[in-house]
Amino acid sequence: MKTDEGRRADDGAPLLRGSVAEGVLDSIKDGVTLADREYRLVYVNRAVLDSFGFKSREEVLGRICHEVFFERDEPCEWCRCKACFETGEPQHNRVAFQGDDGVTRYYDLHTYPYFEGGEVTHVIEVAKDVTEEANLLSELERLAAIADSSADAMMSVDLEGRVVFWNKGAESLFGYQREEILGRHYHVIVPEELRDEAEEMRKEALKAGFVRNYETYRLRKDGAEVPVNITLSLVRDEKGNPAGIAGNMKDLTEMKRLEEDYRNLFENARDGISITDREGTLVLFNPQFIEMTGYSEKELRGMHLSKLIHPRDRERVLAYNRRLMAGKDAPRSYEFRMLRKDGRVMDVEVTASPIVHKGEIVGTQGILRDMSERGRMELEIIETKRHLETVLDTIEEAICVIDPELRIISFNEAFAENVSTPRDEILGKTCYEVLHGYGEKEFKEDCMGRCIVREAFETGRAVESVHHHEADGYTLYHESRALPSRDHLGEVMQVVYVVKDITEKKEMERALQESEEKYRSVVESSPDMIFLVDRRTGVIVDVNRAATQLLGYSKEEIIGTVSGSRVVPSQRKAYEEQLERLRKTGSYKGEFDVQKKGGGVVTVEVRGALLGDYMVTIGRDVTERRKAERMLREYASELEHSNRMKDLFSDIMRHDLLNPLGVIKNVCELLSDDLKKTGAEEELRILRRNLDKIEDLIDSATRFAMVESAEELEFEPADLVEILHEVLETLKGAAAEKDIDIRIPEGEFTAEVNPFIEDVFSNLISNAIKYSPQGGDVTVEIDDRGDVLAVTVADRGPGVPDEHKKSVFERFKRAEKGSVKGSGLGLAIVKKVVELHKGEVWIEDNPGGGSRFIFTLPKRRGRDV
Amino acid sequence: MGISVCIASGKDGVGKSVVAANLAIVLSSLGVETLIVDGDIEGASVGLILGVDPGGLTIHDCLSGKADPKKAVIEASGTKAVIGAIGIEQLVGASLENFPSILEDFTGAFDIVLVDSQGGLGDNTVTVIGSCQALLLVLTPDIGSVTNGLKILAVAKKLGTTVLGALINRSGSPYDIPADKIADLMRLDVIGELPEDETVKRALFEGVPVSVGYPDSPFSKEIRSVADKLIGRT
Amino acid sequence: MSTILVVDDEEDIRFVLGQMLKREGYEVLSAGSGEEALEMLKKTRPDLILLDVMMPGLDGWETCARIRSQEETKDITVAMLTAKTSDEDKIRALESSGANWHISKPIDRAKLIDTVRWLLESPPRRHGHGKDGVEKGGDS
Repeated sequence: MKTDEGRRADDGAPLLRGSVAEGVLDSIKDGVTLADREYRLVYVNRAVLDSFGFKSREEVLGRICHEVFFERDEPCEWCRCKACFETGEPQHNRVAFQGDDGVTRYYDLHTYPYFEGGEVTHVIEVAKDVTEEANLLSELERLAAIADSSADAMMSVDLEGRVVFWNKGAESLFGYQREEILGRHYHVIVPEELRDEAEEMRKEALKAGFVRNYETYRLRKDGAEVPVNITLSLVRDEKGNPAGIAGNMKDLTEMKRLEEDYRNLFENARDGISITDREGTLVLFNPQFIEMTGYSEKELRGMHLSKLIHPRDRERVLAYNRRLMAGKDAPRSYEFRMLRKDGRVMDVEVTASPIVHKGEIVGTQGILRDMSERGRMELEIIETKRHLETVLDTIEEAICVIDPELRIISFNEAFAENVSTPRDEILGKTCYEVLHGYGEKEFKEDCMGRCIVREAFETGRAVESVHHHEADGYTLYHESRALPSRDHLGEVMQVVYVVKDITEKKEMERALQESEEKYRSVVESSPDMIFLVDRRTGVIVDVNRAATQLLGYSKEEIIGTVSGSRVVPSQRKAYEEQLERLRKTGSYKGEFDVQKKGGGVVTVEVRGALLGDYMVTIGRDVTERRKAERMLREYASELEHSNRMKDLFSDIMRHDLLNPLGVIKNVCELLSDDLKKTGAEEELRILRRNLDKIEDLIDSATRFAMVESAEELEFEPADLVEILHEVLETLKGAAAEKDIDIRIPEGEFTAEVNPFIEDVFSNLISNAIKYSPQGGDVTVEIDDRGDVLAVTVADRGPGVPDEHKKSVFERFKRAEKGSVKGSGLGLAIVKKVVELHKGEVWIEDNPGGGSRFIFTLPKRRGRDV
Repeated sequence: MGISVCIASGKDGVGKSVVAANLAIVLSSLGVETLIVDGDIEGASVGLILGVDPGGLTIHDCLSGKADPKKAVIEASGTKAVIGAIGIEQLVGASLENFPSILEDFTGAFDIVLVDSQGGLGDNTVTVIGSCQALLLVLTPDIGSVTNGLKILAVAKKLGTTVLGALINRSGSPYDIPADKIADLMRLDVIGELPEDETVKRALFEGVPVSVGYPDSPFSKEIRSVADKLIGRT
Repeated sequence: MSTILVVDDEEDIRFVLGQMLKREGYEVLSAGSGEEALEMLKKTRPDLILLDVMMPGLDGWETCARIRSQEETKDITVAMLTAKTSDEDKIRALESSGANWHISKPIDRAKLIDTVRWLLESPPRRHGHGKDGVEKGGDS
């Protein structure tokens, strides 16, 4: 090419040989300069002035060239003027200047000697701007170099189909040298029967801009047919108009041969087999391989193998492959993760080997084996996957699966509906492009730092976010989740990204929240205690204010405890049974005493209901009510008691008072008869006796009534012997009448007693006197038995039959069989008073006849006997 | 508002139903709006005594809710009556559950509602005694009838039913316990002593109430005197 | 002249009853207890026994039952004296104890005399054994 340029320089030389008018020189675009041996400028034309920014020739003429134009003290290093002066030969070189605008411009400099008297006195320099040409040339050089270095055959044809470019690869593939084919129609390399097809493809390329991976046959110069893979692309001129077609042809001979050789192996192999060319492009593969990748055969053809490798393994595998191609040592068998079309990752073991053709490595062969369980379960998985896909497609949430390079490798129907990217273009696009319409720039600006997909990849954790935006006056809410999906090594291979329109949910939540607030205020202001209890565990999860106020615990103290833990222990089992019933039947009711904080018990009427996973127990403080009821009951029992007393009194009146009264009445009747006749001493005696009886009965009945209601009386320590002495004073007369000796103990016996204790002594002793025979004796003994004093009153009377030993004290218990008349109220009073003192009373037979009435008195009333 | 009076006896066979039916007839004849209701649902006999052809609505129809009580009131021998069914299938399983409310309906419409109750102290008797405001005890002057009568009195006392007095039926034997002894023992007024009277059996045989068929018989005369005493009392 | 046995633990009652009955011309025997009465009945056969219920030792009910259980005494007319005037006592007196009548205390002199007369003048009774003896007597 340099030779070409050289020729052109020669062509321009004669222009300066003759003497030409300045006007002519000024009209040409090339710069012309004439300088003397001191490089003093003798002449410059207009083009020189223009290119250096001078107005008139006078500014530069007579001055030193390199000083004026280049502001240098020495001649420019590229200047050939010196050589020209010295040799007298014309010089030629090309220089590049960087202009003020920063654009590099190229100039062809031709320096010619000007002879005067056989001596070179001046040089003429013609500078031609060849920037455009030079640029073109360098590009061409580059391309030609690339084209020649490529193993592929490259050619291009003009619109008429004439060959205008032909590289070394083409030369070796077809046998034609560049010189012999340039300018000829490309049909020379097309078998006759394929010319129509070739023409079709050429037209297709003209129309569509390219035709890729078109497999066909071409004709060599020696007449042999070559299998080729052709890619055609349209060539446009600088104005953008179609200028021709460039073709890139891969020689498939080797592949075809290999294909033949391996066909059987291919088809029968259980493993996937692939063959890639030097660049790593897939050129051949078997059905198993197709199946493993999930791509179609068409999609795989021409695909670079890197696309099938998981990004994390990509560099490693490609490096192995490059080493293999370079004939270096590389692992022949290794595992990597294959990235399937559906985005799934498959663990693959590959056995790779170079393919050597004519001593050269032309490609690699890989035998791939699915190492994952999934390989064997492929069918089931496909089936499951189909179901899953169907299910996913019916899901309202938009779902897509994103690989570590943020490309979408799978998506569902809802996703496709919600993005603007056409359905069939989504796969392989990045999520930010599809979801946000972002390019790389916006991605970097906007997605960094707040993209949950990236976060999921980085952290390996599920990430959620809710974002909202305004549209048409509504606030729309979206909830997105990024869920990492791991392979069996635990590495995050994909992220499932789920977007859900939760506007409705948000609305509902808001409404719910509002109603919950209302509900809460109702619950909070309820005077009843309300507990929310976990149905399964029975643990209280929430509680209202009433509960905290009534029980005195804080919310925090109650929440987390088991329902019923504050019920008093004696009722806890019953409570748990009720809770269990609630758990099962949804119905529950009961009343329990509940311990308050810091003591005290509230009576709570509890009802329960089921509420989803919770049980609600509602407790009403019925302490006051129960207290009122208890008081009512007490009042009622008091009333009953007083009724009993009334009954008792009417009983006493009727049976005990009426009897002596009846006798008196009868005696009076008899008296009235008698008075008519004689005296009536006997009747009068009976009258007096019965009147005494009535008086006595009325007295003891009144005392009995007092004892009955004497429970509030105060107890004070007193000496029983002293009391005995007082009692005996009152009984002196009665004892004397029957000549009875009453013996009482000496010393001091102190017990806590109330004044009624006197009645016990007087009743027992008077009874003893009453039943004693004339002249008998009555003995009172007091026995100190530690905590209690035992008092015995013994007589020599008839004694009390065993069957009456108890009943004599039960004078006023209801209608017992054969109750003994005439025992009066005395013993009933005795029993009552002794019981008031928490003592006991009973009768024993007195050895040798008579009775022993024994009663005990605790020394301190607080102690039971 | 009238008064409901149960005619009760401590045991069967004292002539309680005859006394009740004839008392109703006599009271009606005295211008007192009287209704006799057969409360002896297991052995209804009022219809028989009044000489009513069975076949109309009965107290059993009222009790079972089949009939409006007012529609079951019939007129017979000058008195109003609600008689009992005599078919065995209607008697079996008859319940007095609705009796108190039915009785209330009747006392709203009559001056006196006499209820002939079953003798003895069965549940039915107790129910009838409990639903009536007052009670007339019919007894014969023997110690067994008196003793059982005492039991009726105890029940009436417990149920709060006022005992108007006793009617001694079939009196006149030298072996009778005298009325005053009965009255003294039972602390009860003896309102009447109805003599043992052959015409009572005769009237029953003829299917006519004795006070209608034989108004001059000693029984009928005593029944009228009882009625007079009752009106004077009530 | 009829003989009447008065059984009561209270001396005053015995005196009063005895005086009242004696003045009507009856012959009166008295016993202070059920045991004493039964002992007396071995020797004498009164026409009427007035038997107090509430007594120490053998009470009236038991005493009556024993009277009815002995062939020699079973047909003697017995009237129970009770201070308790409940219907139950009366029913018990007439039904289960086998007594013929019941007299309430306090004693109404006129009623006592009237009842005693009625009991003594009415036809003689024959008593069977056991509880339903009274009813049989009533029916006869």
